Amino acid sequence: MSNLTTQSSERALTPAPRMQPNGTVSRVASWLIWPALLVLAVGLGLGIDNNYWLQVTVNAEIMVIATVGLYVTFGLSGQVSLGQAAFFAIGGYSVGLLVTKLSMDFGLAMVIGVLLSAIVGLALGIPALRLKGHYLALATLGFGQVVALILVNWTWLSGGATGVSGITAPLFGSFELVTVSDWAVFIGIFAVLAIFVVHRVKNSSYGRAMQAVRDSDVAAAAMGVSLSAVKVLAFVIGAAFAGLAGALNAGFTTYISPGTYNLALSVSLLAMVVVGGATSHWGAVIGAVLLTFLPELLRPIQDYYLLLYGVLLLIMVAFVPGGIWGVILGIGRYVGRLTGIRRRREKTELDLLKGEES
Amino acid sequence: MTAAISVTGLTRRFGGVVALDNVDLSVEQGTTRALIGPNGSGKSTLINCVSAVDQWDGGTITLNGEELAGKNSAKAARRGIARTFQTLRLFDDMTVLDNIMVAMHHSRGYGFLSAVIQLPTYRAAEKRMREEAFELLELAGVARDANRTAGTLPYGHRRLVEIARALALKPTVLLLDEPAAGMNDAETVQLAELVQRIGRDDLSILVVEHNMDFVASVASQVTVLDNGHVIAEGTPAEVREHPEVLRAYLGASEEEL
Amino acid sequence: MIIQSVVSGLAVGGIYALLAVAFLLTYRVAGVLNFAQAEFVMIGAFVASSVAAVAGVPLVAAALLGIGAAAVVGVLMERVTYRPLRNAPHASMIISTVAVGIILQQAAHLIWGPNPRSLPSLVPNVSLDILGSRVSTVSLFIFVVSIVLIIGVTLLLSRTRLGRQMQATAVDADTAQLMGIRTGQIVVIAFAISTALTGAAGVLVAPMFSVTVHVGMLIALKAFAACVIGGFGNLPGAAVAAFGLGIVENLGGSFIGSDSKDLLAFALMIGFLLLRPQGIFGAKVGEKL
Repeated sequence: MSNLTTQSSERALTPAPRMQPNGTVSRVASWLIWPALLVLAVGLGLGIDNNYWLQVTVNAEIMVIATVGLYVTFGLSGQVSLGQAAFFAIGGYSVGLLVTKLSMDFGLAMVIGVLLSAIVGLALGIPALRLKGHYLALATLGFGQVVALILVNWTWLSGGATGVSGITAPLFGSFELVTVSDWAVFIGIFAVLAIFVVHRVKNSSYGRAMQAVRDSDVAAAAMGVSLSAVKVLAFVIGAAFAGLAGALNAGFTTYISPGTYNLALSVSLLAMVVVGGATSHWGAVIGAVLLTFLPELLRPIQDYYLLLYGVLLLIMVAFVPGGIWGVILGIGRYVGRLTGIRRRREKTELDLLKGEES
Repeated sequence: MTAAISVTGLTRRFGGVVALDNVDLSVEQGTTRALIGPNGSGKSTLINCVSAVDQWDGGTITLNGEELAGKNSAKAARRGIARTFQTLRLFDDMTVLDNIMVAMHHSRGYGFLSAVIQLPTYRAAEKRMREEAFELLELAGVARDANRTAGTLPYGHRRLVEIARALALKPTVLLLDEPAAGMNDAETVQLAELVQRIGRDDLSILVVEHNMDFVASVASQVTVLDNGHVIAEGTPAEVREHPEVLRAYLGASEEEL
Repeated sequence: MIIQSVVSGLAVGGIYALLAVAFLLTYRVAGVLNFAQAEFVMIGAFVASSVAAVAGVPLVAAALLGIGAAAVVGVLMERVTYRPLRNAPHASMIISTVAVGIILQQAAHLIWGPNPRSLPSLVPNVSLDILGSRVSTVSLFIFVVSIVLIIGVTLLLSRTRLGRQMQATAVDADTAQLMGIRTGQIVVIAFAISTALTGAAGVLVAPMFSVTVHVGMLIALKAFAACVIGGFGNLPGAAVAAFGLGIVENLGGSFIGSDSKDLLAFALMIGFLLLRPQGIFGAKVGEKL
């Protein structure tokens, strides 16, 4: 009995690695993830021969960027945004117009596009985040509609329904991205970087504050957390990442038109987070990749694809609330429990042996 | 001796109902005062006002000589007013350790970019916060739960974690709203020991509680509320004998039966 | 000219108002924001136009069948959205209604194909001369029918036993259940009434536009806007706002050009959300930070 208590207090001081996310084992593992992902991103860009699948891969990477951003807004801090397409559009049109009308370098135009998305996010976020739950969803929905209508109607600025084409420019100076493969490597690196940044944010005090606001805003405030600052930060991160995704998309496709930035895009971004699993940025990544490839894989039954997509979404929301990531974690935990039982049994056998010896 | 919490003439109405009527109360620095009274007597309302979660209609609240009016609860918390909740409000989906560290967010000592790049200041600050949080969990006797998800803890442990989380604000004023509610006798004794242990010269505690044994073991002074009025004040022993208190409690217990 | 604008504004406003009331009904009673409303407009319009195309079927029967179909689908929708998710986070419910919308739209696409359909109006389209302005009978008809339906729903809610039970469920479902109200059934009925109203809006707009899977999209979004402008807590308030929005849009359209008139509704909506989120007629909803 005394043995049991000492054992458990030791355990409290040096928690088992699998329970402690900051333990040495998982720290090394989590460091290895980033070079591995970079190698994967570059490898995919250089390795995929088929131009079509390479394009789909780039699309998935663009979606990963927007989705991990939305994960911060929705998954971490619990704010439903149905207007991400608008930020996507702000990033895309900034790049499109600056490059074609002002002959700006793509790199600089991209930076401006991201900043502009963040600023608009801030301007919308500060007043809108006083609104709870569904009101925020409606405000962002309305914002998305306003931007979509502006893109169609303000022809002098946006080129109207025909959009902007010929968005080609050097990245910086004379360095240019030409082939699909170039773009795949470039955007792939950004996608890894985006996941990395969100990973860091999540594990910092900012990430904890966001989760606290999501779980109980009253308690978070009582612990000194400024609700408005935290919510606005989370919203602006989502806006900036969507802007980055839009900017990269504009450069990659060289053509933008208002039809891309509709409610369906906002909804599918949210669906990616939910289907992948809103509890983790890895869930968002999985959701983005899966829901980008799924329509391509289901091309043979194209007519039924969206129907299937709707049914999948409905089933995931109703019966798999933790998303695919939740299922993966569940399986991991199950396997862990099995091996844990085995370990304990080994220990008891060892104890028995010792007992026999003494 | 100066008063750490000083409430004068506090009045709070909800529609036509007067929840607090001209209440005076003070907690001397470094002491513990208990606030007791039948259900609905206004105890939680008072805690909510003092922690700036709720607004009030009249009177003043002064904490460490500073007026509370116009502050929101986050600002009040950053000024050293910590509290627990009668209905537990942990961040259920986060680990216990992370729960504690949320209360250190305002004193984290690093900026957003530093968190993304993980500068040395960030690493040092995170290490310090984690260690401090762990020490607080040890103090509360729940260090073993550090890496568990808060929502999965047994009820009594969650209450202790809430107190540890409140202490992580490094408060000068601690408000405990029925900390022993739902606890068994052994857990209540453990809790009383914890409240005695955290007593410091620069920490003043106001505790709302029903359990008179608990009150007698942690508080030097007691204020009794009934229907939003202060009906008695004094040491636990004095209050126990007070005829008004007996009447209020007997009346209440008859109603409850 | 002005009168003509106002009357067609009232007609469009009537459609918005039907959807706004329908939207708030499920929101108030069940707490569901139905983002699939546009698809119920579509169902009403498609079913009515298909039935009307069959020789010998009277228009009124086609209209009623369209409305009935919307209500039946609405009841089915309650089963897959509200029931499994009533204790889930808000976002889950929102996404589930969006998913239902996608499913309905795609199903309609498979059933009716990409070619637009049409539906004749229940009243002959003639221009009446009122105070020197030409006013279309179709517009007047839409306005009158929507007003009658909205007053009917309002009376149902305030005067009947069922209505009071709905109101009780809206205020506090748990207490309502303790009082012996079968809240589960009440929610189903709320869904049925809400989607029937939406289907009716579909039957009414079908003669004005060609019927495609997108027929309800913009109308539903405008109705959301009207709810925000009028106030979420208040059915008649939202209806009044919806009529107002219809008129403002139509009058504004003739000044700022019809291209920008769609912007007006959403700009107003955002303005209200930011400056007066409770709407014109609502109680305060802001959150203290």
